[in-house]
Amino acid sequence: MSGRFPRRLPRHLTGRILGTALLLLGALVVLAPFLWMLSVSLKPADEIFTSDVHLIPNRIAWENYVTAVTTVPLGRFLLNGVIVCGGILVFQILFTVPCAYALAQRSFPGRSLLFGCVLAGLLVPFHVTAIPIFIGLAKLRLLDSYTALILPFIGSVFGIFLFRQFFARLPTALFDAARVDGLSEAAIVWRIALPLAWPAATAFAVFSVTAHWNDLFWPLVATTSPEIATPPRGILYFRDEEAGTDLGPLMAGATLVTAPLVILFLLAQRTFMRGVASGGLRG
Amino acid sequence: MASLGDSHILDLRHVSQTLGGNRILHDLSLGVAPSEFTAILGPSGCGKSTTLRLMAGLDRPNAGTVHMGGRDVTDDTPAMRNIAMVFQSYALYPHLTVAENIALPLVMRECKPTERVPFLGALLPGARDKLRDIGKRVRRIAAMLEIEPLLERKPGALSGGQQQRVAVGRALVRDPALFLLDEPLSNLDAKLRIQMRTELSALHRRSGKPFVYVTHDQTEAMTMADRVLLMLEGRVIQDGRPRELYERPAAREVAAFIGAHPMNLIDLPSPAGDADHPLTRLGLALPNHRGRITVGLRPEHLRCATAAADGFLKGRVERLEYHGRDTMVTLRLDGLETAVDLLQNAQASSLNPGDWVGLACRSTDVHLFDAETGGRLHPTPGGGT
Repeated sequence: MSGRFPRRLPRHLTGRILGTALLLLGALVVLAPFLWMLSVSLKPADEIFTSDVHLIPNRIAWENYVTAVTTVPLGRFLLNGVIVCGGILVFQILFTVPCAYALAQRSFPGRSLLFGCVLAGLLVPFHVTAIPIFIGLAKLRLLDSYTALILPFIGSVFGIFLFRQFFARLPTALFDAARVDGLSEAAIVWRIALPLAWPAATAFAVFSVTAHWNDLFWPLVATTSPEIATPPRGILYFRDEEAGTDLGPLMAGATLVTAPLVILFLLAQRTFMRGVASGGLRG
Repeated sequence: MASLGDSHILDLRHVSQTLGGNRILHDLSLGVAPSEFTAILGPSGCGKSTTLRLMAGLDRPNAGTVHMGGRDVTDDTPAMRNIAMVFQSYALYPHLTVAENIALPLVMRECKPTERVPFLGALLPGARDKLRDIGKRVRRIAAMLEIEPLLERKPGALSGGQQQRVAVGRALVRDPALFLLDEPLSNLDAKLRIQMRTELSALHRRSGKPFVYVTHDQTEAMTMADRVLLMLEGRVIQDGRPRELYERPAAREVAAFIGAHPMNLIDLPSPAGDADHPLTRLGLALPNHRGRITVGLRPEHLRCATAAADGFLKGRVERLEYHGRDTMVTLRLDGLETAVDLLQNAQASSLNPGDWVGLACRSTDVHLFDAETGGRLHPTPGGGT
């Protein structure tokens, strides 16, 4: 390594190595709890509470997973998660896409005001409205049902905002052409606007499903029956049932509950990035 | 102004349009004759696109009515009017293939809502035959426009000229009562534009349908149209054949707009009783007009007089501009603060800057306008007063 190659690394290369190292460190901080969860889920009970920290278990304890699946109806929880998240997502798309299209591509009196309300709605956390919604559902005798888990979330100001921003960038002539071609406004929404907004829709779906899959607050408030418990709510039954907390199976359950999300994200990753960055439409 | 007869395919009657507080159109009436190629020509912001959108039914006028075939269609949608429109940006659906783009208007018109459901609709009895028939018509149009090899591609993978053809195909396929084209060539490069001009003219002749063509390019309007409506500030200033617009412009604004080289407009006092007035020297008189006039002279109609003193106006050569076949000579007129352009055969030109030149012109090529109103004046022959 002499002569032709400089002894010291070029400046930009040093910078890149430093940057990558920092990013790796950041990734490690974010991933550490997950890695620990995975590690504990594979450890036998006597290995979990030892003074020395080791990530790889001495003996892989698959029985934690068996316990997790058999002691609580984990399959049921996962199915509930799919039903609730799927229901919420379908209704959200059904309501937010037409609304966003109207706000972006149609002119009507009060449009700016309405969009202002949507923006203001973004600032209100769900917890503020949780109590009125709870009381409303109670009066309608809808508590402790799938309806109670889905209904409060069928409209999404975030979804309206995201889709509106996307539609506002589409050329108006496209929608005029569709009108000339005989499409009704509803047909324009479903046949033209939504297919074009596919990246935005994917991004929104990831946000929505993640938020509602992981939500513990509302299922805890609105439901009591184990039959309709969503995954995070279900995991709590590990703690309730046993006298002491059985950490191994609990972590195994948590791993199983997190896995679908990770898989979903990995599948949608590319489209998701495009939707968030919203380089969006080409050709 | 256009008559409001029922022989028209489409009539706008006394329409006004205000957008965002700006009056775009004011009490505009015009008709589109069957099988005629009508160009609406005007600078940007003159209201020509607004007029086209009213014809299409994309916008509703604030006042006035739209009639088609003697029926009031003011409240009808574009589809109910059976019009087709080609947009400046082509407005092809990026997520559909070329074939699907062209087929969409037919699918929307001829298939029932249930048959339009993706995948499932095609399974319904009858839907399959309909879709096959639509496919056949799409291929026929594609063959006509020579875009058959592109049918399975997405618009993003096509060149500008190809996209243009697809847009025309989508308009043609539904056999519309009226074609509306909104500056369809302005996004193409110069060479392709000339080619598409020829193709659109041929398409118009072959289809026998009325075309309304909005453009700011006078060459497009003059070369393609049977009839040109020149619009300025929301009004039709002149409505006539291209030759009429060039030879007998109805107003100073028309004269200034039409012509490859801008017309020279010279402001002069009234010729009445002035034996040495340029008009009098040209052998023209305006017995019924008092007040200042504007004389319009096209550069291509002006000649150099054999001797400087012979011309009806005299000027000094300021600049020479070589154009190949011709040379554009700019003269500073003697005694006037006006420059005049004159087009001269480059071969014959032997002028140098600073030379004195007399201007000559046939009296029939002189356009006269009222300096106040801009309206055309009709001179009588005969020099005296």
